[in-house]
Amino acid sequence: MNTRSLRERSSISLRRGWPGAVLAIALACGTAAMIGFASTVSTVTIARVVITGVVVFVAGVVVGSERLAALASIPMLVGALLGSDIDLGLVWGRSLIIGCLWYAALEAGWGSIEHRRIGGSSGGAVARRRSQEVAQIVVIAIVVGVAGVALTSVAPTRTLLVRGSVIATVLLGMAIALRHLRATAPASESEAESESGEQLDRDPTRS
Amino acid sequence: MKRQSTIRLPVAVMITVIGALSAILWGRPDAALLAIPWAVLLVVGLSGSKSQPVSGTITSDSNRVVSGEAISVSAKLTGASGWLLAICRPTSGFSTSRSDGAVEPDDEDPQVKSDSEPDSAPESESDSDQRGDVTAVAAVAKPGRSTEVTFTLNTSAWGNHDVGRIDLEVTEPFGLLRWSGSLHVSNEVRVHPRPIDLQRLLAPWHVRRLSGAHRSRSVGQGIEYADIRQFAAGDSLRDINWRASARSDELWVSQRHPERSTDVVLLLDTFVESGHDIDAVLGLAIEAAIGLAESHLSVSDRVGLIEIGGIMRWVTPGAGRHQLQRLVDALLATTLYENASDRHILSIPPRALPPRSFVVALSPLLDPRFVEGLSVLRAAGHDVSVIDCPPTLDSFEGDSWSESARVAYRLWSIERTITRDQLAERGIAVGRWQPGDHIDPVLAELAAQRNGMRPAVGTGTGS
Repeated sequence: MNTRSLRERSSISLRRGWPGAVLAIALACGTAAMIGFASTVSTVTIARVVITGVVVFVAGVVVGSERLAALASIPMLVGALLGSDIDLGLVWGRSLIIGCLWYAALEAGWGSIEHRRIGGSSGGAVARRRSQEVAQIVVIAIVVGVAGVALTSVAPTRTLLVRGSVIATVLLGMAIALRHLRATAPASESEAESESGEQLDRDPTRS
Repeated sequence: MKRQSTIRLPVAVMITVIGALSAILWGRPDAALLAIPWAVLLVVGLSGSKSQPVSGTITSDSNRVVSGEAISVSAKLTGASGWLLAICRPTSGFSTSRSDGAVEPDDEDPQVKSDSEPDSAPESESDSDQRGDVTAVAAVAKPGRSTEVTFTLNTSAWGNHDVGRIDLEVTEPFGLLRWSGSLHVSNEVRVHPRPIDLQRLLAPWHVRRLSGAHRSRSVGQGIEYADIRQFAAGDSLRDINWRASARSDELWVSQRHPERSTDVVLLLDTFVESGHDIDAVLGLAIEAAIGLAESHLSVSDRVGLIEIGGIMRWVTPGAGRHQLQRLVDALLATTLYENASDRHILSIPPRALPPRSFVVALSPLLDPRFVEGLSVLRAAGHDVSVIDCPPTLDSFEGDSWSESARVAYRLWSIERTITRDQLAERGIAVGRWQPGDHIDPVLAELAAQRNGMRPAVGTGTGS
């Protein structure tokens, strides 16, 4: 990729874009605190798992590795699941908030890494646009989550039919997404180039 | 444009699938709630995904600049929707401006403009960064609108340079997919060397009959005093020298040297023996040639150019600013070619090398064919001077020289001295110009040498 070399060879420095990194780390710590303090089942294992997740995330943000930061999702979400008790009503809202917090933390971390690699700061228009998009996702997620919880609470029991319909919905969503991706993919190299105009061409150095 | 997924897509898919399966298989609805933001991201992000047929035009604000000046390269992009990252990758002739720090949201950003919201749109702002030889500009591109990104490039070396290319990366809204491609900049920018201000010009031995700035050896109408003689019928009363006439009983008139122009032919040595270091040797010669051409053209001389080397090229002498442009264009396109064949300077057509021209050769005097050509020119009646642009030996300075290297250097220096002496014997003045020095002392040295020389017998002393 054309920009790949820039991304790879650019040195990561916290001097640039540190507000985004600080925000991401704060959100991750907030997620961990939410998991720990609002946990209905308090064990040492949960604490260790969550701390591991935070450490991995902070390491990813500081080092500048998007994958390492994303890898922290596993211990964080596992910790959240271990710390919840489905028999209590509080767990619904707690899980939703933890999910949204972790999503925001990851987005902030990736945004910080991106800005530090390609330049700019979190105060730019792009960072603001990304913040708006993250806020949109969080709001929609909360609305959907609350609606789902409300629907589930009024349902008498979780029947096989409900489970089947949920699985079918998930699979259908995935199929639609894949189909959509295939439809928007470039048809061929020549068509893509003709679409792109006269001066637009592919990077000849790209392997 | 080629599409690829960002880190968000696999992470969102993984968390959504794990959350959904956990909720269903193990009866943990909280797992589904944890994954809801990612599921929403997938649905919202992929539903808005569409092809990014980005096209654009790239323009630069100037095609001719002086070395060290900056040019603005603007890319007007259409068809992009999302987060646009444009990275300018200039060629070696350019360096990017260094201005650390990002553009704040409330500042008016000169680097990015949107055609629909030219002044107040906050989304038309950008972040920028310069690292090494690349400049990155990040912006928000709206669908159906063009986005203009501007890069400022500093010219670092003279010559004809392609601007380079602009790599584009468009990340779709919500950041799941990314499109990348590049725009090649077809503009060629001619970067002129910094002009050299010459305090003096070499006085040619031969001049044309047209008026100019060089003093002719003959007498006639002019400014500079030459001699007095007795008044003769037809002399103008304005020429009477009253002071001399008052001391005698006869009228005396002043004689003056007329100012004339000349034909200056810049002779450039482009033999590959000049060294492959085009900046050190040929670059020095070309900078001097442009300075000399500009100075001589400003005093109404006709200036031409002959390149002798791997290929022979010439520009016939002419006057005026257009001629300067022609000369500069030819000089900027100069390069070294290896060629072992003989080059006969007199094979050049007379219109490119008029009789009794004032030839200023710029050469490191390393190739015997060029040195021989100088002698041939002098023998043909041309007024020849040489500005010696020797190669630098910085890499051999200090104590790093071995004894054999010292001996070789001494022999080489002796050979060069012999060459210069031989040229001087033939009436060719040689001035040595080192990198970093001003050329005026070299011209003064040449003028001093030429004072002790005589024009070739039979060639006259000019009109």
